[in-house]
Amino acid sequence: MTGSTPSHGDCQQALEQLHAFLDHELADADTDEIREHLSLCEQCLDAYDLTQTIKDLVRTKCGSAAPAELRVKVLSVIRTTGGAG
Amino acid sequence: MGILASTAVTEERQTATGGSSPALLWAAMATDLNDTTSERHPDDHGDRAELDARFEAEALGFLDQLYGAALRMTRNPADAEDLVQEAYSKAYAAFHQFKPGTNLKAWLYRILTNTYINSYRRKQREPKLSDGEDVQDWQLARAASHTSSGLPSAEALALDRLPDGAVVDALQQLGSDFRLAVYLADVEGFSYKEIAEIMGTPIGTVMSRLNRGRSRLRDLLADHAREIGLVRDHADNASSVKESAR
Repeated sequence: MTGSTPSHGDCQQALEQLHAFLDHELADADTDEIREHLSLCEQCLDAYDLTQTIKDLVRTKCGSAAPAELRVKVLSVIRTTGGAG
Repeated sequence: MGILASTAVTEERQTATGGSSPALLWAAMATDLNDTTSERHPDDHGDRAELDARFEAEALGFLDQLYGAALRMTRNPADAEDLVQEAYSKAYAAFHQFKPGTNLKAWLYRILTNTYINSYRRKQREPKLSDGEDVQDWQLARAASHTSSGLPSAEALALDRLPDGAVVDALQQLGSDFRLAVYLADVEGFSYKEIAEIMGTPIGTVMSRLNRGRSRLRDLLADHAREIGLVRDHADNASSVKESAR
């Protein structure tokens, strides 16, 4: 069944749109096309998996809460630069 | 060369006042910011008090997030705290010009980024990764993913097992434009359009920075995984999760 074999052109398109797809920036029709392609092409799927993994890692590991005293400092900066004058 | 170009614009536009206005980068907002300190209306005490209350209630709610972004920008806690304070000070001064109902978080990030570019980045000399916007970056990504040896899904699994600090370390190694784009997209979940507004660049540049930034992250993390034995280059290199070299 050559019809179900992804062509090089499909892979090219899928990889061009990888980030936009994973970032939810694609239109629905494009998203569907890519999903279909990924169901047929393991190589592209792997590329998608890997990038999704990177995104997830950054999301879960790279946020930082502010030190407790920073809020106080910011408030005092605001109050001295601010309204009182 | 987006970074260099935009940095050049920024520096060109620096004024002796500690310059808050790379107009090209910040379109609508830059002029606002510039004028605010002198244009506040000290007479309107009632409005001012109301504004102050709103600022504390709404803007300060983003403190953790802005600090997180500042930390990724400056790469050290002391500078991050200073940057956040300066950004909040500017945001406070300009807050009467913020339109309620529009995106406050993006507005604050724009000020933070602006402040960083003007005050900090030039101090923190760092090696720049060339932006290469006229090269289509997906071409690099495509080349990388289709020619790399080994099994990507095994690689994804290995990356998942990296120690926590490894991801932050890798992110810190990216050039600041790449680092910020990735941070804004992945930690803060901003859309491309919002990131473009925050960073003062076209959306195409945002996409390019995300592509390059994530590809570079992947390389750095994969190297790290290999170094500590999470990815096997050879069949006989089988043991190894324990050895935590660096």
